Amino acid sequence: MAAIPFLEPPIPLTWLAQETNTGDALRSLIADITGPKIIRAAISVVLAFVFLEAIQSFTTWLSEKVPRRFRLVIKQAVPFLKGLVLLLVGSYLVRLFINLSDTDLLALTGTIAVALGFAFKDYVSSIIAGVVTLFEAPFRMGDRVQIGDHYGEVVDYGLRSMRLQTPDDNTVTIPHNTLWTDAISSANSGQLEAQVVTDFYFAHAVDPEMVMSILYQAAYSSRYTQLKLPVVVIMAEQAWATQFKLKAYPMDARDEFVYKTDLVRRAKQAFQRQQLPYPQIPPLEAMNGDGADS
Amino acid sequence: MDARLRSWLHGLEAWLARAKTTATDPEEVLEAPPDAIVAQLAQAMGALSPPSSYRETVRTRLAEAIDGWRSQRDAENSLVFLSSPVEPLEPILQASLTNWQHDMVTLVQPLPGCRRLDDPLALQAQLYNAFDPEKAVPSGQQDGEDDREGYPRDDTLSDRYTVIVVPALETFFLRCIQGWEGIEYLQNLVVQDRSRFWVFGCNHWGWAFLDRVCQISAYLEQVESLPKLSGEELQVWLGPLLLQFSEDDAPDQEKSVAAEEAADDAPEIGSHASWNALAGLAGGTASVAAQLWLSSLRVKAEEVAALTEDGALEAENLTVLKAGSQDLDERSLALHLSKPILPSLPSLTILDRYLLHSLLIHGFLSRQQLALSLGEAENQVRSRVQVLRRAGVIIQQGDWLAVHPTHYPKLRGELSNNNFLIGQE
Repeated sequence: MAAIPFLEPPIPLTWLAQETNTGDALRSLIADITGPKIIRAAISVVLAFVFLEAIQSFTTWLSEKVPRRFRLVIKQAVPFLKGLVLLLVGSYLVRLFINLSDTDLLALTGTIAVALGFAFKDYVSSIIAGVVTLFEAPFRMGDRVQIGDHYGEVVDYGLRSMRLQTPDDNTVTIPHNTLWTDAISSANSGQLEAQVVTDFYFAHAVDPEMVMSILYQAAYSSRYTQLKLPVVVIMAEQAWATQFKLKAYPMDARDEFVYKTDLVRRAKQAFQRQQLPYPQIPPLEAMNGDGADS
Repeated sequence: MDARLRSWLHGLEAWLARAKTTATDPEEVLEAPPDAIVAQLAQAMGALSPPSSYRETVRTRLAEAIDGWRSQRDAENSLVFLSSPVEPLEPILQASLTNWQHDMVTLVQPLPGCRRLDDPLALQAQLYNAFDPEKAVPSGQQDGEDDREGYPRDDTLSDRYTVIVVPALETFFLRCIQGWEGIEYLQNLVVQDRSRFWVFGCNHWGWAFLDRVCQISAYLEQVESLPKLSGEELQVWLGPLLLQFSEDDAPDQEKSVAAEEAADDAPEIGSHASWNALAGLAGGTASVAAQLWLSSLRVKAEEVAALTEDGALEAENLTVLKAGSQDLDERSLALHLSKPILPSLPSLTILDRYLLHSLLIHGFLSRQQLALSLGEAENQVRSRVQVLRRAGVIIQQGDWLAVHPTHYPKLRGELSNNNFLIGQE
């Protein structure tokens, strides 16, 4: 084997030849970067941004204009449309700047995997979680979900994160990779209706039949109630009161809180007419049992 | 899917019809008839008997049901007729059963001309007063139990000769707490008292609501929907209207009777295709078709101008209305039937949809009752009612509000697409 003299240890010429081959390979991988290409790339990035914003704005506008039954269908198309735009633009940029053959792609993937594993771990994890979520569908656009301490309507589904609009009109951004570990509770799972549970408490001596009758009638008489879905009243005993749960569905999950208000208002008017007894919380001394000295 | 497709087709037809109204020949310019003519026609339409197919259906079906009830002990003792919410059943049942005699039965109508009361408990008391005065205690003191003595009555087939007619069942409920206890009382009464046959009229939407809240179809199983009218049937029904505006000096009542009897000889306005289109747009509902027909009538502008100059359009002068195909003289005005189109709905708010849905399930409501059913303050409801009245979606007759028939087909699709419970027609 030939070697370079006067070097200790001698460096074989074959090793240096490999170094030169790798550099050539990398240079051949990257296509010529010319001015027009840069302009085309910039234009495509700008167009991608414009399309993404347009998709979000248009679908949000359209979903509020069409009848209710089409609203969620339109919203649920947003992540797929955005993903399609990103995929097309990404593919175009890669083809513009990189000459990829099958072996090149294989080599590049391995290199990228190592690099991203350290530097962009969380970001890539979020992206992958977002893609997986699209197919698993634990929730959809327009759903009312509980993730951790946050409850609201899913109003945006991005590459890295999703956004919830809470009942207090706050916007909460949640990275997709949160979903690997956190439980997700969806109230409506792509449907327009979501069950609303309203609690009522009465004294133990109350007539349960009367209360249940009033609660059923309150649900059926509310204009928000989806009459095609069942209305149920269940009862439970607490130490200090008898609890009644009214479970019914509004026609639109967005009306959850006004629906609850309407149910409570109607029911309370009937309760007052019938003079039904509310629970009495006993004084603290009586609960302690020993009187004022304790 | 059907409602959405129908809505698109209506919109396309309306757009095409508007595009075609631009006439190329100035002499052929057609316009809507003067208000005085429209008012005369509307008045005459209101006096028309219901279509014969409605009356025949009621009589035939009722005769079959009564025969079954009188011959079999366990046969159903009730029959419910269902119609569109904009097609009041009361005049149809009245017209069908007036002078109707069948097998010695006696028709009784305990609550003629009844209107919905504001207090739901008063509704129930009203029914007690009519059917069971002993149970008619002051409202607020009733209990929920029906401890009627003597029910179920032992009845024999020979005792079965009384038919009770309640033409507007939706009058006896209001969508509020305790609002349908009257209906529950009636359905229990029907099941317990088999010695009487009950005939009810109700609209499809109210029926669907009552079925959900008190399972009324489990008690009143025999249900018959009014038939859908074809183009030919509509032409036979509305065509003779013009005979009432003939030059004959006979009183109007005689003219209307003569018009009905001479239906086959009535002048034809419009082609068969127009009448079939009318029937299709109206969904076979007579009241919708009648209003669409009225809004589709056209006259020639020059003829109107000529008659206006002569003073022939004044109220005290009789204007002779004829079909466009008839011979005209200097006192006659030719009527032409343009292609009917459904009017567009205005932009509806969320409250508007709830308001209109409430009107459709109840048939008609006063403002106070509407506010009570919606759980909304009366001033909120009043403002939206005014807006919808100006847009022509709601009509008001005295204190009563109802949906205008011409807006019903599109409104049905709109409410169905917005997840409301609608009647199955």
